[in-house]
Amino acid sequence: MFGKQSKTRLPFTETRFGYKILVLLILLVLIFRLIPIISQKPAETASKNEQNRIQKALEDKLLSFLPSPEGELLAGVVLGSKKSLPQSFYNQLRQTGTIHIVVASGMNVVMLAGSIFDFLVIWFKRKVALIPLFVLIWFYAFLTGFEAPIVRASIMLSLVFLAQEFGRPTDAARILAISGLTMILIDPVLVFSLSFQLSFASTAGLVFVLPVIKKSKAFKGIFRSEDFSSTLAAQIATLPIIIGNFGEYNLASPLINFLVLWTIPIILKFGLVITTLSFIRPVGLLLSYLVYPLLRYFVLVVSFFSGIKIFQVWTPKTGFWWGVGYYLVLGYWIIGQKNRFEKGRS
Amino acid sequence: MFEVFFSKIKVKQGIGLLALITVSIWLAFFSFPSQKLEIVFCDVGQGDAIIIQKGFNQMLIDGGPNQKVLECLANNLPFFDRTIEIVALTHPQADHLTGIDFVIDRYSVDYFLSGPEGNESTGYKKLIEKIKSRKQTKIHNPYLGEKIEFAGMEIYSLWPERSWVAQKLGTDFIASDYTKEESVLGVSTTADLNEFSLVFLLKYGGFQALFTGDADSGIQDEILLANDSLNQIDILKVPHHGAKSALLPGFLEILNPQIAVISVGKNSYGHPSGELIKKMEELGIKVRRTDLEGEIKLTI
Repeated sequence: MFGKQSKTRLPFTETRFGYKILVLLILLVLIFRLIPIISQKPAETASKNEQNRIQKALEDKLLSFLPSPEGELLAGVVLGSKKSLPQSFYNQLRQTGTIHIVVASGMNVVMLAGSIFDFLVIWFKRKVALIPLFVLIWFYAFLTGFEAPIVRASIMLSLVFLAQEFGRPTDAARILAISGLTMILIDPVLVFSLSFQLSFASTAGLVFVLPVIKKSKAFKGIFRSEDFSSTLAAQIATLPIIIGNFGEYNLASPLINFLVLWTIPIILKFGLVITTLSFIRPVGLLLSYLVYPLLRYFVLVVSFFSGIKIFQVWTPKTGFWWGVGYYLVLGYWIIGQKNRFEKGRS
Repeated sequence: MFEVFFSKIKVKQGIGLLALITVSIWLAFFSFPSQKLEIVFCDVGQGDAIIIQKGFNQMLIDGGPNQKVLECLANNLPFFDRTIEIVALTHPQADHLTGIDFVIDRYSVDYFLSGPEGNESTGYKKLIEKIKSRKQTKIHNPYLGEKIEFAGMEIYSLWPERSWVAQKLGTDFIASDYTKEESVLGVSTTADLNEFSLVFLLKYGGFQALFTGDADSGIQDEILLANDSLNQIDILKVPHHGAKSALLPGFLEILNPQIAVISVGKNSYGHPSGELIKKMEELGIKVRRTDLEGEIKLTI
């Protein structure tokens, strides 16, 4: 979806479509910011409570279908709820570098949207199908409590689908920048949120680092696969954030992610169906039993690798400038590699 | 329209689904419980949580101080068994009740057994509210002299005595309610909650185990007085995490268990008492501790 590569230009400068969207978004932000001020109602708090209530009710349903920690894993993947994660399992996820899977990942929305769109076009014309698709994507964002990664992915996807359907060229870098900027405009404090940083950096990894890895000849066989290279790209892009916040890193993390990530789309799809049908308990239970082997596999892999301490590296929690330096070096390396490939082509 | 939909389901996905069904069935098959009686003392830290299981029937005595009890249940129950037949709260203190809150969320509970005495803590009040809102859960106050027949076992309630509770709580409604099926929860009291602990004697064939909650030396004379037929048992759950005052010498002599299990974790109270452990070992009792061994599982 984000396959088409950007030229190294600043966002919004190339097409009129970009400008229009930017203006539209800024207007939307202003309206959203102004409404509560004008009406002087604590609208945000009320809707937040309502949303928490729905999320909690759905989470409780999912947890009642499965034992611990498989139930929490399912709730985490589907609803991004990490509050009920048992401490021991949370530590294992952190130690193996897989916490991003449970802490509401934007990847969920990307996977979700593709399948839902395929499903919707059976019944509707493509352009009409966009309406229920957007409703569903944003309803999902609502259910997950508007977690930063989900919102970012939802904005990006909405833009990508719109652009595709209206025959406009999509540029992943620009869309990433627009979605990031929009979110910061709405809530500037997000810059300090770990989930926003991780989500933004990992997507940037997919946009900028992944193409370099794919073209590199250093990886062979199974390590050339889409899954492994995407995992590695995201890991490279998020390294300073992980080390800066947790002070530890698992060198086997790309491998562990590679071993477990394939289960997530299946768990997510099952999870969504289970959540939707959870009010019919026997159906919810039966479907939960079907997805249980994958959840169990995930838990076993994570618990096995968390027991292997030799790959776990403890570092002092690095500061802001260390991160800036890292990204400067990374950027320099990416540009260098790109130039090399371009030279090689000519 | 549906034909179009079904034509979209690819062969690969069909095979994947079949594989999942097969693996689920095998997993279910391998997680079938044995027909033997199993008693699991969960490693929940400083607190109590004990699973008594036979086949698909479980009784949980206390839930420990945190959600670790869920891990213990997941390790010992088949993944598809989402019902616990009996949950008993021996007395309303955090190291015994907090985990039950998580259990109630995750499992369907048929019976909730607890004394009428309450605690002013928010944790207890939240739990009681939740249990009362569960329509499928029946609440019952067990008193001395009651017998629960459960999965081929006989579980006798040895404490508390109804009139003793009525006197301690300063109310006569408990005594007068004797003929009714209604149960009471959350009566506030300033008396020592440990003394209200539910005490259960489990009999299965010739095997006997005593579960004591926190009923320590302060109340053991009354328990002995009310249960004069009490004699040698196989397993004793040492009361009050093996505190110095956990056992009266006379109580221990009459029970003379083969194994004494202490459910204990990191704490600042000096539990378990070295003196008590020494005394039990001198009597030839094998002492087992959850803080040293983790989860302790006994199969009978």
